[in-house]
Amino acid sequence: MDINIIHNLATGFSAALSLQNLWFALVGCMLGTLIGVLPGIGPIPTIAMLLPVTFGLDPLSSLIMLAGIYYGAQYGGSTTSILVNMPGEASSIVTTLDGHPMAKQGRAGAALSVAALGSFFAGCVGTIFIAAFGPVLAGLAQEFNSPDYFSLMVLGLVMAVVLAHGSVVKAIGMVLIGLLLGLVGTDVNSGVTRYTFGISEIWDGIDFLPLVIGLFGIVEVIRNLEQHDEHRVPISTKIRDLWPSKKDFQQSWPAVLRGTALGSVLGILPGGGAVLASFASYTMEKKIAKDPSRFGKGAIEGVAGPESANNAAAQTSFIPLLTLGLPSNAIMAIMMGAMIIHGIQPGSAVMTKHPELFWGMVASMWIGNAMLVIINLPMVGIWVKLLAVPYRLLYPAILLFCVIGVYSTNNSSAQLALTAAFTVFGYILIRFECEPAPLVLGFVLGPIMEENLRRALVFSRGDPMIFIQRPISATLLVLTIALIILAVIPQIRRTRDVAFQE
Amino acid sequence: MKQPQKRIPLQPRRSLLAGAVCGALLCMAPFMAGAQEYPSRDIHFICAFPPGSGADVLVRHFAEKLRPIAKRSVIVENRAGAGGNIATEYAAKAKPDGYTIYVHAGSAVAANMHLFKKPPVDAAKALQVAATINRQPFMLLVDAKSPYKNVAELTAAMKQKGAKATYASAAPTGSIMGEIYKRVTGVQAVEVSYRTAPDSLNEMLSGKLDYAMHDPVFALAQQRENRLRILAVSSGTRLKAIPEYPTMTEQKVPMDLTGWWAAMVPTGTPKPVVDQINQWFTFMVNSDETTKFLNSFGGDAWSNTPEAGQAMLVKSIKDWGPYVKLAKIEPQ
Amino acid sequence: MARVRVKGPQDLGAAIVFIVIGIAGLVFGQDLAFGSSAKMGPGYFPTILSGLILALGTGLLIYSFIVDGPPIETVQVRPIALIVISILVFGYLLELLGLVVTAFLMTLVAAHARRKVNLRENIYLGIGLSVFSVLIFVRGLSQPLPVWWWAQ
Repeated sequence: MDINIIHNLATGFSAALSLQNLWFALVGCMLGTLIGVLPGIGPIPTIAMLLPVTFGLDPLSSLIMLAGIYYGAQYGGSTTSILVNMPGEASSIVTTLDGHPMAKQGRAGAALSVAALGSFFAGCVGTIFIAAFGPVLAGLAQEFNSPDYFSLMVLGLVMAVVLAHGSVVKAIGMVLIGLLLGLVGTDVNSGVTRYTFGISEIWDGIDFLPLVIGLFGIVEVIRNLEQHDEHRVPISTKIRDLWPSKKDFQQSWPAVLRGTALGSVLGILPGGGAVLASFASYTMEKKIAKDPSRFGKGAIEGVAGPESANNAAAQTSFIPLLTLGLPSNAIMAIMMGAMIIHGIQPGSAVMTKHPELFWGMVASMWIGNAMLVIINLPMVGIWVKLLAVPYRLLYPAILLFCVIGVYSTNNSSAQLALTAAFTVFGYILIRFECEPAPLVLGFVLGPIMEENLRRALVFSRGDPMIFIQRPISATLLVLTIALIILAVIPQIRRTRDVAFQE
Repeated sequence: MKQPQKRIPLQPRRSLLAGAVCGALLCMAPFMAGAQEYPSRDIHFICAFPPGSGADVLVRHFAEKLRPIAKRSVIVENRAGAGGNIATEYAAKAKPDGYTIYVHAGSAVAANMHLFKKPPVDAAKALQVAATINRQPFMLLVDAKSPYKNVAELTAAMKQKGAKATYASAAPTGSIMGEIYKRVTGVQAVEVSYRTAPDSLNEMLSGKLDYAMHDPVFALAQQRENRLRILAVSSGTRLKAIPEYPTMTEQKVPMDLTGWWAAMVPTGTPKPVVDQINQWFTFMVNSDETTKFLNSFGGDAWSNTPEAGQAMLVKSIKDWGPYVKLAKIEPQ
Repeated sequence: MARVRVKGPQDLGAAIVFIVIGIAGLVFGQDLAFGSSAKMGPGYFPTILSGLILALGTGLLIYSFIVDGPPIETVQVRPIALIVISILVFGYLLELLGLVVTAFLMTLVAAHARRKVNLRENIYLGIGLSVFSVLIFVRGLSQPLPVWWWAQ
């Protein structure tokens, strides 16, 4: 078995290291990084747009390039999360929580470097994971039935509450509002539209981009404008500050390890794998930290853990596609389309029928990650300098890129009206100290949660015991309860203390 | 609305050989004479699905293939939402000059006339089918480990199970196929809805679900992997590409549910332009690689004159009314 | 009897947001069939969620009269109003005027979200951004955005 892996990886590397494939990996990574940095345009539309371009390439080169765009966009997305509080996709939302405060303290360089290094490490581990345990892990994911998914979503939402650094009650409220917003649109089961008020643009649900761009990015711009001019971000461009300090490293590496482990496992689950992984990692770091109060104010573990987790998950999310022919998220669905276009049937046969393709892709994942770290570390200096551009010139550009990105997802003005609405909503929330991150997680997981709850209860004919009868589901629920106890006890104690002071 | 026929057969596009391009241009030469002035600028394809979905890939594939033939840029505009209604309305109200072409499932346009209380346009009047692309059935599937080898065996077992039986669907076509099956055979299985067909796989394999009505892309892939078994297809006649699978009709459950894709333009588009588009698509659809590829996904390449295509649209709209009522789908 | 006084204005605000959303969820969801747990209707999950949100809001409302909290920061109308207008300007003028003109206009509107506006600087910025966005998004990424007000 071990010998086989080495042999297989050798096959893969010899395929992936051809000059042509290296070139396409580089092009993909560069494109992905650039696109990830433009707030508003995420990897999904980019890959979709570039798909026809890759039709003319050989299958391996085209998959390598598309995968490069995917990782590249993730790196780029972290960059905007840290610099301007603008997450490009759900899995980089948690990066804003501590990454952006770090940037405000002039530690953008350290945050970006740690994100890049953590991602690289996670990418390496993820690659080995795929090579060694791909089929085994895929089998595990196949054991998940509706009740298990529901319980997993419950656990995820409790994590969202725990990671909030303000009031737990408000965080629960935010999660619930997020769940409710996620249900807007057509109900999968009955085909009935819910809360659409006759607006046909939201019949298929509220799009992710207007929500997240409004709540995070644009609200941040407004808050900055409310503060006094020019002194917004203290910029430190001394080389010393571009690199994480020794203390930063010491705090980061255990977080990177834990994030990588969480991400590798959660990445194989369909649906919100990468999103859950980043939230789970943040929650974990905050729970085991000696001083949880640093979180939300620029704790480097809060960047290192989730960034490693989402990158590891990005790698392992290839497992269900390559071994079962099941796409675990929208990007994998596009990759599946790309394989089919080249006449390759995604599934277990890929490994046996096209070993050079399978192992070539695995090898290229490592190469892509290495390239990204090489591309991105020198760029850190440039990005940090970008913050030195006067804000009065920077914010119109940020706004314009956002609106173009939002508009181009569906070529519709209604998307921008939604963005404006969520900006106002987000502003109100901030004024009342309600954090938007739990809301977004609820929004992403809401539909998955409802569908699986409904299915589980159809199968059990309405008997809720199904959630404790299945071992996977029961385990997840026990974890949930443990987490609640951990989260609620300090809160109760604090409230009681406050009450006693009255 | 649930989008009818979520999974659409994707088309092959190996690197286009220079020879093929030249051949294409030579073949096109006579057609060009008919409409010298069209196309004189960029052509826009309207896609009713978001970027990256299976259907989007199909539309982009044709866009890419048309480019060298039409010698113009072909831009894909995604106007997703409202089960395709937004794109339908946009395409129907575009200028009828042939520069806005709606590449979408004609069967879905027809179905939406009944799935919505107030369809945005009267499709048969507002849209002109310029060319058809393919036809594809839905499929009845069971776990490959199950003992059922044909529909009769499944029916017998499901009747025994009564209301304890369950089945999966992930699109209105699947729902309708399931209802017709239950109506004809008297099976009382409970429908479980999924967002996409792959979502139902774990529960098919764990035995929670007894059978499923799914699209051919998913069905054929799982049949190939030996995880699921196809018992029958929903079209009226067997498909040329997959003659080994019997129709539901042959298996004593009469039905004809066939999805078909088309290139549509707003009504009022000049006839020479419509004919030009028809010739382009007929040429592309009948190229060897495209036909072969459509086949491997359980759909047949299917080209028609604009008139026959339009007749198909009118017939589909008529057929879908009773289907939607049968499946007890509440129009929105 | 002590006079009733708001002690946590932020909590009060959040409570009102929750209560409004909870009631809206219940009112606009009342036509959705509730079903039963064995056969959940489209209204089952939304009704439960709205109820929970309403309950939390009510709890928070009471809490805001009991426990002291920080005050609400003052709201400045200018930044939020102009930024929101600039987004809508883009959304509703793009298809009429094309990207070049709309990007320029949007930049000008957004620039006024600050109090001190240097008009000349912003005209240059607007021109620069509009050229840049055409190059990147239309030429580079081939997004189907109209560049001018006439079709190409």
